[in-house]
Amino acid sequence: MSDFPDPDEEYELMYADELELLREAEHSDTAIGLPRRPAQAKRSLDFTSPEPKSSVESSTQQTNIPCSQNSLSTIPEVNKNVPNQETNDVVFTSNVPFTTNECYEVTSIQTNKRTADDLFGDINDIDFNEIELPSKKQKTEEEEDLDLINRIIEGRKLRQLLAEPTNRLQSEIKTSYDFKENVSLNIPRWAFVPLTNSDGERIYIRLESEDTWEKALEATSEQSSLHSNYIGTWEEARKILETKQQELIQEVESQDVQIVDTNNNDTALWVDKYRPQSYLDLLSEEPVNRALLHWLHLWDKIVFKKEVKVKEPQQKTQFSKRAGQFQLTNKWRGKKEVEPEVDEDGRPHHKVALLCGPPGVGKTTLAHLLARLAGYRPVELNASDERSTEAFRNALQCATLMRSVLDAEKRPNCLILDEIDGAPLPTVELLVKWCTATVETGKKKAKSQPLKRPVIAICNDLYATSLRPLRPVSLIVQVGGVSLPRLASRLSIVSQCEGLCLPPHVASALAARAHGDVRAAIQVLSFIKARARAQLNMEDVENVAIGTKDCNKTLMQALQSIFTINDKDPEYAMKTVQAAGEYDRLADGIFENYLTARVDARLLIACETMSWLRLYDMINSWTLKNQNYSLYGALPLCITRCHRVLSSRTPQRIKFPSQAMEMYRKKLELESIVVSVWRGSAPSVALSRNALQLDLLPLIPYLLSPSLRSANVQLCSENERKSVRTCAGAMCDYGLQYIQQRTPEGLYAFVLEPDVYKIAFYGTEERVRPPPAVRQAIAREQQLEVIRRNEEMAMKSSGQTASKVAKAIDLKSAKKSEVKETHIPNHLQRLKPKEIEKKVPQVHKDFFGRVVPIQQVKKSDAVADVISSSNVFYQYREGFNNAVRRNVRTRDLL
Amino acid sequence: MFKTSGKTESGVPEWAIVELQGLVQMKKETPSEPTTVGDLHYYNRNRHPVLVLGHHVLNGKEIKLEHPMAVIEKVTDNGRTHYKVKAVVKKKLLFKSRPKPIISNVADRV
Repeated sequence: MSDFPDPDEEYELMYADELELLREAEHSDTAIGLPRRPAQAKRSLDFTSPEPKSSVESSTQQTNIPCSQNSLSTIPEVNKNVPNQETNDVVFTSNVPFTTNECYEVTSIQTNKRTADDLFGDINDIDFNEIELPSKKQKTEEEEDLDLINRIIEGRKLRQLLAEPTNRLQSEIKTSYDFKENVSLNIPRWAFVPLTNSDGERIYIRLESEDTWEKALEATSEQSSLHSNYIGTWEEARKILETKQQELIQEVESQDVQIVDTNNNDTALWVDKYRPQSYLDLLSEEPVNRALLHWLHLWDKIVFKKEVKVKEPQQKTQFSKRAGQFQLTNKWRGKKEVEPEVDEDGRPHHKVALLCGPPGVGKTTLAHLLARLAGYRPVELNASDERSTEAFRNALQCATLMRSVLDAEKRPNCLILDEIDGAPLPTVELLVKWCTATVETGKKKAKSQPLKRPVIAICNDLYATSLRPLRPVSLIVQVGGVSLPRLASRLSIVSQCEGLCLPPHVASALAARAHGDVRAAIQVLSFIKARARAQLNMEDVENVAIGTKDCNKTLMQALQSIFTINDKDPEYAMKTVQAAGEYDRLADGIFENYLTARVDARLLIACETMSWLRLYDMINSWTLKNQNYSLYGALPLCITRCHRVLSSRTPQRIKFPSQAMEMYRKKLELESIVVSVWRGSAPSVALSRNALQLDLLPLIPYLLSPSLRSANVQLCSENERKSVRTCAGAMCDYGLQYIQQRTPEGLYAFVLEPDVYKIAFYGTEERVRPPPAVRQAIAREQQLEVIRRNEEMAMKSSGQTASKVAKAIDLKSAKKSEVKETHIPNHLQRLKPKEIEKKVPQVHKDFFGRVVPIQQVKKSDAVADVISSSNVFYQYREGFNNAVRRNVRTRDLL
Repeated sequence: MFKTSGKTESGVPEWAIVELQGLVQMKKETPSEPTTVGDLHYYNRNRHPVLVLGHHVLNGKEIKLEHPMAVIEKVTDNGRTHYKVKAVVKKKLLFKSRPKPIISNVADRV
């Protein structure tokens, strides 16, 4: 297409002068002064005539002015706007110098620049990518013109932006332009229709041939008819945004081309490359950073022999270590941080800082950076290193007691234990021991030296079992996920540095997808870049398969997702179910909640759910039975099918699946009761287990609860006593027993063991149980029965001797009864007065047993009477002595 | 009640006031001859005064007087009157607690 001397163009050139003159005559007054005029002039310069320009600028328009006369020329015209070689333009400019004059006057650029201008004169119509190459070539050639060219390019591009994607906008401009072309006050040369307006003025309007009209219609219907849908518009809008973005990148690139070049060469991971270099670069939250840095500075005294500034207690807003943020300490409540930050050795109270948080949020980076910031040399020990106790001890000693010789700055070490939650428990215990060791003066000095360097441990799961000993002795710093806006802004910075076009909405989508995981987000970015894409779209972010972590979902989350409709992501339930695992418990959860999930009068939903659950059970049991896991993948599908059936929009409270477990436990318990009864029953009454369970056990309770009128067996009738006796016999036969147990209230209760009531009644057994007193009677009777039976057994074994003994016992009891019968019956007994022993007057005896006369005794008593016989006595007055005090004169006394 | 208890110090004897909360009474209304009222065991091992009065035992305490007093005697010699300091009183023994009875006539076997 680049053949310049086209016969059609020749034709145009012929007419160009005339048309140009015509236009000049019409618009000479307005054209020059307008700011947009130079650009127009350039255009006209490009094509040397206004007519080609109009047809070129928008091939879609109905404005083929010259074409109406010669329809042949239209096709080359249309085609012409694509190639546009520079040489072409140069020739044109030389052809039509007078039109360009205006442009030169306005822009007033130097002559050699003018050539450059001319060189790029046509560029605005070319695609941007095509222009990039020559412009770069230019840069290498003419360094001093570089920025100027850039500026021109930018200017062009802006224009292009305005012009190109919004064809519709331009079409409007065009019509106004055509208005002037197609309507004339004088009699025009072309075919026309005359019109007379109300003022009597006559206007001539151009008549167009049908085929041009059709062509124009075709062109317009492509872009600006009512048929065009929003996709086109959307594409346009995106194009605008992306080109803007590209422009920005272009700027950055032009600023530091060298950096971009070096970046393209190296193979470092972006995550490493864009690792934060200063405190301000850190993406984690400020309180977190501060807490760790503060803790690191607490080591200054022991490591750097520097005095640590301990915060004044009077400070209003204090940094609470526990909460990890600034808090207003309330003095009124007397809430003070009792915990001293530094112990008596000058070391911090917490010897280890434990950073925890989800992966990829920058814990390791934070630790490294802050350690370096605080003047340490970070020594990392992570999961890839050997972490046996020995190796760990070695590393710990190396890191905390020694100093790197090679390090020029002679920095002390700071040990960073990455992924400590994966370390074995003894290792962690060793660390704890190491940390808690205090200064010991004496012989054991070499054995346990106190920790003198900070140790930062990093973990994902704070509550891992191996970390249990470490948690109390360490300062726990929770690093949360990076907030969405910050991550998005960081992503856009990275993409800018890499020359990747990342529109803001894409950046935020990427950030949202990463869930606060910086590493994942940057890796996705670099992955996309590696596919040689300079432009990042929404689809890329959505479709990229990497970077999603194996996210753990809890059981309850999965259940919730099963019972709720998710409009945004129909696959969400499936994903969550797969992420949660634990299909058995999920199935339990569905089983527990499926009846309340939806209104289901005819139980159709329940039926379908049950059928899916049945399928699940079948697959599961088959899998477990054959140990063949080929169908295991179908399990989540069954669950997700239940989601289809059960999900609803109404929020509902989902119960945690506990019933299944409970029932299982109950079943085990009951079965164990049956088994124990079965095992314990005597051979004489032995039954098959099934028969026992079905026929006997349901009826046994009735046998075991004899109806007694009173609990005292002695007062019962013969019949009742007999029933108690049978009851005791049955208990002996089936190995049942009443056992005295202490209840929580402190009382003793007789409990049947094994408890057949539970099997017989399934929860309603309490009514049938005999009252406690009866139970006691039965228990006693049973014990007697046991003794009786033992005796019987003994008798059977020892034959006659035993029978003799029994006879003897009988005789004895008979005699006893005889003795009892000799007593007078109660109603004949009479009360006899009790004999009272007469008191013998007391005789005083001395030590040798001789009787002392009474007079003498009395005399000896009278000796002590001196005191009582004195004729002065004292009468006490109660009350305070102030009340009874009275004045006494000296005269009375002397 | 005012009773003195001798104690010498630099020539002038020092007396003490005995203050009782109650009345000292006689069984017989014959105050003809002087009678012993009771025994004052000045200090027992707790350094408390103990007064045995009739069949009562009183436990008291020693209190330093706020204003020391002097016991003086008016002597009229040749028409001239002068006062002679008989004693100085610096403290008093205060028996204000309820007295405990002394039971003497008790049967051997109760």
